[in-house]
Amino acid sequence: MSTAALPRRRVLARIRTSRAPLNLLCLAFVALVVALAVLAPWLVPHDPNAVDLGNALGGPSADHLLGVDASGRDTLSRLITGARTSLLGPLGVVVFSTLAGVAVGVVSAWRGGWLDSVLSRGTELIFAFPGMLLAILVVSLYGEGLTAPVLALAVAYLPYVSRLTRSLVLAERERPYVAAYQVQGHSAWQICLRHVVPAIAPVVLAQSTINFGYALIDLAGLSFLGLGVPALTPDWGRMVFDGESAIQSGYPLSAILPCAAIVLTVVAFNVVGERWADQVARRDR
Amino acid sequence: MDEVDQSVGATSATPVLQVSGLHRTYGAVRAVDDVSFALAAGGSLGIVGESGSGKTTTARIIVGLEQADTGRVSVNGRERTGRGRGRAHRLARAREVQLVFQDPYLSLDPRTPVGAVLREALRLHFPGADHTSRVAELLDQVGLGERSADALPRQLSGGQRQRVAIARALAVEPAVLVLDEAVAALDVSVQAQILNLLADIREQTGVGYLFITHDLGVVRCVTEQVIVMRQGRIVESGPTARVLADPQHPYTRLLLESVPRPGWDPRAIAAARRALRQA
Repeated sequence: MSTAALPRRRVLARIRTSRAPLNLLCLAFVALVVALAVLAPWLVPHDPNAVDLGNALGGPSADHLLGVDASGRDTLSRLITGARTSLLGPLGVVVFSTLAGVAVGVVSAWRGGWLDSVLSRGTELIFAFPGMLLAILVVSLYGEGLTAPVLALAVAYLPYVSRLTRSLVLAERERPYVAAYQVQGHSAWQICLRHVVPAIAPVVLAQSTINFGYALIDLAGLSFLGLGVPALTPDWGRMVFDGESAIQSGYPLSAILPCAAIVLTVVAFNVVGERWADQVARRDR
Repeated sequence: MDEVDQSVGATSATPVLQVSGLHRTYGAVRAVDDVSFALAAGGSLGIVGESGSGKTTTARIIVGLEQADTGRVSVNGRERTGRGRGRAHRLARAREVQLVFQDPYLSLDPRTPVGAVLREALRLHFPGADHTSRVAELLDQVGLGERSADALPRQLSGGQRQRVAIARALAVEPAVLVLDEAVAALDVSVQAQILNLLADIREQTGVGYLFITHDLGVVRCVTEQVIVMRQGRIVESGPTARVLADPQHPYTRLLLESVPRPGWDPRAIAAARRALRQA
């Protein structure tokens, strides 16, 4: 394993030590959320956008298991359908930022010189710019929709991955085995793809899983501000925003449930991701 | 300084490796200062010197991991100093000189099994062939069983790993094998095994050896010619037996006396070292 340590939050580390049951629990939760998201169209009891104003702000009942929001929409159906956008967005952010970040990090560490300076200063420039502001700026330019904020956040998260990758590759390329492959006549490209990237992958993937949680929170925050996700699309962040009026009316369920879904999903992804990365790092291959 | 014996370059066989006038400086430090020598085809040449004498830098320049400031390295008459691009050029360079590193714990990718290490090298240099039998042959040549092909480096001992590193270098079928302190990280009994193995391989394949070492015992065992380096310069050179039996330069004498043995006096050696530094 590499010497570089991941920025880990202490609380999560402490939870992780009592690992087996918690890990299983989180794994089950992640599987459940993903399954709900994938199978949403067949699972929802009601159309998530069907308005039943006569039932507005109704509590849990046989027909609406988790109650009804202020606009008379079924909370359970919106939660299940909302899992799709709420997971797809962060997934896009993580995939794009990981691929691009690894590419930038490997190139700047391997080539060094002016290219390293350009890429490193460039990513530092992005670092200096708050991701949320960047996303809000892009949304205000391109209007609503999931793609624009996802791309903006992916760019905002890219420096985390590229800086980590750059430092890992710098350490890895000093290892004699890399010089051995160079002497053997392998191209830098082959050495990077076959040996250096697999060597650093577990650490980068662990960072990316943590980024998944942060991106989920960021995207939910954007939706909460009414940006990004179109108004009628069910989305957890959007549901918290819509639930504000329900809380004021004394029916907090339609706002609290998506909050809980966000928090639990972020924690579950972090625990599962870190555990998985640890296993990859320790595995005999 | 002027006792350099030119006979090293003038052995009867045509030199497979010819190094002339190498210079390399790091800031104010002259790591390699006017180093010239030749290695006869199928011969074995030792470079001895203590840490910082420039022997490893010389080796890294020869294999192409460092660039010389000035000077030429040529293998079989073809110059190697120029930095060339392109796949064919890279592979041709690799087939001229291969390197066995000092530390077998670091010179193998911990994630790649032994068989895959060899197949990678074979696939790169001899594409389109079936390498199964060649892998077995190489493993056999370095005294490893076929079962070890599936092993990861961490499952092997230091000596076994160094055998893998040697097999990997031989897979390329180089003209010259540079061994940079290749047995220094191994314990003494394993050192002897590896040195015997290397002697056998040279007999079988006719590859030329360039032994970089600080260990005079190793030099005595496996080299015919030796050069002694100090502070980047060659201070003495000649046939191994003569240099070890009748050292001309005070530094060579000092190196010989520094080997621990009965009646050995470290204080006298320290004094001699100081005297040499002031000379």
